[in-house]
Amino acid sequence: MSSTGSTTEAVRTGSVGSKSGARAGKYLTFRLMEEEYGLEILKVREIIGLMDITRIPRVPEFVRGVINLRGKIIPVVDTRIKFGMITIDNTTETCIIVVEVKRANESVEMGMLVDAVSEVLDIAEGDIEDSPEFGAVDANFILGMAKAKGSVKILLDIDKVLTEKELSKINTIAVEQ
Amino acid sequence: MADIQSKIDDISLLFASCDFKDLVRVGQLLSLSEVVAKEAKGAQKKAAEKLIQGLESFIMGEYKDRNQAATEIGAFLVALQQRAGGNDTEDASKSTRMSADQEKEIRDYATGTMGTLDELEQCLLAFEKKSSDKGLIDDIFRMVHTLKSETGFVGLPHLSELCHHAESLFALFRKNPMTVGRNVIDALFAVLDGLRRAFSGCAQGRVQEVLSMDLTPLYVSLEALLNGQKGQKSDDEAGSSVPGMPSVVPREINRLNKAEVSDISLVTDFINEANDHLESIETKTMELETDPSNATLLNDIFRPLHTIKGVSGFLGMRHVNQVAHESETLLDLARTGKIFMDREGIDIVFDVIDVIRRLLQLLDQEVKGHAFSDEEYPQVEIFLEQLKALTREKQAAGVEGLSATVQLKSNKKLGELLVEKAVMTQEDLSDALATQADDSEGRKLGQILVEEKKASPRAIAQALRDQRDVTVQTDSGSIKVDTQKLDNLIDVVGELVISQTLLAQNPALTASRDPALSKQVNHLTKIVRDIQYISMALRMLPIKATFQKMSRLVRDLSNKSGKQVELSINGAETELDKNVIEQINDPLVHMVRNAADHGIETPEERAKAGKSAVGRIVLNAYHQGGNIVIEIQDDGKGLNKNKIRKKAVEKGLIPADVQMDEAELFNLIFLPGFSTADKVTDISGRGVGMDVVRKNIEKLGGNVSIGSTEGKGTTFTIRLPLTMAILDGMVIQVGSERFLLPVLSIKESLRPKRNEVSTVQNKGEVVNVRGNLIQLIRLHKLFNLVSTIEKPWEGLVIIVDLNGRHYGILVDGLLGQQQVVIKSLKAEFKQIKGVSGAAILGDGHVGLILDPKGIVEIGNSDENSDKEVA
Repeated sequence: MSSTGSTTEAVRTGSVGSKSGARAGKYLTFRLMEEEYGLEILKVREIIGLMDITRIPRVPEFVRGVINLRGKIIPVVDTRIKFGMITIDNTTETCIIVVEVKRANESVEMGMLVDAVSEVLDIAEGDIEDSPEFGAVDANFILGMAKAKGSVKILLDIDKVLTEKELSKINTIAVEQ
Repeated sequence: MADIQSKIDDISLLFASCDFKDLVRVGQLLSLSEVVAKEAKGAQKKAAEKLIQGLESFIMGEYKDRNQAATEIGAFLVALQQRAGGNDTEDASKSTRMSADQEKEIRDYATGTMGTLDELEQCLLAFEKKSSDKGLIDDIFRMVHTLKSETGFVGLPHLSELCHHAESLFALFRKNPMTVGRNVIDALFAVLDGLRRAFSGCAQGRVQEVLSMDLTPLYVSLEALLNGQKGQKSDDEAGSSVPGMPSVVPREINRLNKAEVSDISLVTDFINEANDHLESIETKTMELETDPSNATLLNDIFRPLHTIKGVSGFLGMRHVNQVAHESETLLDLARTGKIFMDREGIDIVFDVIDVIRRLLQLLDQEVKGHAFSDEEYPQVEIFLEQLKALTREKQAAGVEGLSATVQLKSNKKLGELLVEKAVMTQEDLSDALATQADDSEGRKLGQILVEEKKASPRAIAQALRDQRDVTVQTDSGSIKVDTQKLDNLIDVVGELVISQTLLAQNPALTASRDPALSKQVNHLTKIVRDIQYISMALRMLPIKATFQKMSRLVRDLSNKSGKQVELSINGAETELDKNVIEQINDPLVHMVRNAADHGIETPEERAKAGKSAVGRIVLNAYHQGGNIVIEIQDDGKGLNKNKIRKKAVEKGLIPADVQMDEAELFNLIFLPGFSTADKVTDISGRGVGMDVVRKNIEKLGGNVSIGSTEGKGTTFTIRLPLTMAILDGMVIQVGSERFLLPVLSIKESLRPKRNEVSTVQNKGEVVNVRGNLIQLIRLHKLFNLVSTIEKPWEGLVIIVDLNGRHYGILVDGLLGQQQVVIKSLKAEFKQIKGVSGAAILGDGHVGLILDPKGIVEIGNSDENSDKEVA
């Protein structure tokens, strides 16, 4: 009878973050240099225009600093530096995507500084391929590669991009410095 | 007639072979008796009904002792057999088992409940697919539980019983979610169908038929499942105490598992409330000690205890109930002037508080799913005996029967409440009270009412709660709010203030010459400030409760050590942030204990020194310049400077020839190494853990200092910020960045002259401040910032004080002082040295809060590494 509601719920939650499961769904795509990336829409909290970012001393370069999001202080990661790209000056299109990252027992809000936000795409499972083994590139945080609208979007597993391990580096680097 | 006779014989046979462990057998007995009751007439019918009642109350677990139950039920059966031949002619309409009104009620109820069954069916279907879903189990559990109590209430006992079984099964799933087999689901659906049949029968008016429905097979299947699941569970957790296993310990808890108190939220509510009550009892008992015959105080202790007793009894927490009951008896004797509360009496009241508190703590643990071991459970039985013995001892002859009348008196309040709430009528109340007065078993009013179906258990619980609520309301008129909600509110209010400031400073607005507009903006500003002030005050609590805990501590200490110590408290109404209050407790306990243990001398020593035999410890709290000051003062022997010095030199903490002033000497006792002082010296223990005390206080952003005069006493002064959430910060600028430095840590700021700055080994820099050489730390260098100011004599040097040593931090300039709300950085940034948190500045930007200690540490380590390189 009405038990179907909870079943679909279960399927959905099961899919999140698993490579083999259904990756189809809505993705928010954004641009970094000439590359297009996709983020699961459920992980995106909001998109805000660029605001003043307060630098934090003695942290790795990819942490741009912290911002005041309506009374909450959240860190902002410079996605370009994180992905090993060259940095550019901010443009009018530069913005911050606020995402929710799952931790061991809590979820944390974080900002990702990106060149521009493109659109929300509905991507079918058939259009998604596993990421090739790049060797040099750390493909761990890539959910898959999606072909949509004539270009390739790199679908990110945001929980893995900003893992606890990654962020704990912040401390070690701070100490080494 | 013969038919009935043979059925009665059957019952007797069954009874004889039934050992009352087997609930299924008892169930059969019950259904047989019901048949008899339906067919029989007159006295015989009455006897059968009596028997049914006995059996039902046994099934519901109302008998404490199985043998007692067997004896009583046996007696009912004998009565039934004796009536067998009798043919009393009583008014038939009166003795019909079910009155027309009641039938109508059942019909209405059944019609209204069909929807619940549909809902239940859907949940069961979902459950079949995903039997480990905790939310689902909870839902089903609640539904079944509601059905159980409702059917019981309207007079469908066998349906209630069936639901009870199903409920027990789900209680088990709830504790231990598992994948269930086909058989369980089938059985549950069978139960559902049975219920459906019964309800539709009732709805169509065939109530009598439904009442005689044979639900035994359903019981049996459920019972078998229940045992099966339990068995499975004990296999899983081999050895650990499982529900249903005879164990001496979790007696209280067993009741919970039996799902008799299935509404867990009732239990947790009770635990919270009871803890509040205990706190107030403790406070009042402290007061009682100085004024043992004060009737108001005795009443104040009696009332919350009575509430605890009432609710715990209702929830089936036997031990809490018994302890509360016995202590209530004692207090009641005191209240009515029958006995005098001497030291012994007051001691036992404190023990009562401790025992109940412990039981509640364990219960809380259990409810949250953490098991506890046998050793942890207090020796309640022994304690009860002590309590009873004491009461007997105190109680003079000729006060028998007192407790009964008093119970009547106090319970009347419950009855009145129920009448008020239109749960029952005044007649019902008087009847019940009369029953209670005659009652040899000493049943409680609530119990009688439930048994006589005059009020539902829920209504009684509610009334008991209301009864207590009234007292709470008159006390303080407060509500409990989740601190998270408060924090969110404070966050938002902070943003409101910022928005408001930005608006008020908007050039378009300031340029406007409209007087009405500026008036309105000013008004808004005022309101926003008020909101900010009020929201900040929300987190503030008086320090009273913490201080009162100290009086208990001093009392226990003075008892133990044979010293006479008196504690007086000033400024208990001083308000502090809740966080601070919670965290100041341990350091306070430590310092008060030290004062009582080591500061205050024995009465003989005191007499020799010409002091009064009773030592005094004074706790003071007051506001001073935006800080809270807490003083712990004793009139004991004071600190011996020479001994401290000697000790410190011995330990190698200070060089033998160093010059130190008094304050510096006293501060030595805060050093970690100092605490291991030799036990036999006068100052032994004075320093035990004092380093921890200081660390804790500093964590709160405060500091502690000592004043002492040998032979006269010692005073510890703790200075704390009003709240941990707010920081009085100095906004400083370095390059393009702004930072906050806690004002408390700043000694002074100055611009040095060129000749006052010199380098050491071409690396480290020092500033000469009035003859003192102070190490200079360049913040821009430390944090890798671009600063326009490279020369110290062009910038500003902020002198910070760190454990008595001074350091200079070079910054570009000061922007002003600001009170900010501290926000902690996310876990990953927490350990960044030199930064303790962040705050939102007046313009909405984030400013990092600097931690002077960390800065000095990095400064030193950088210097060291530089030296190594060089």
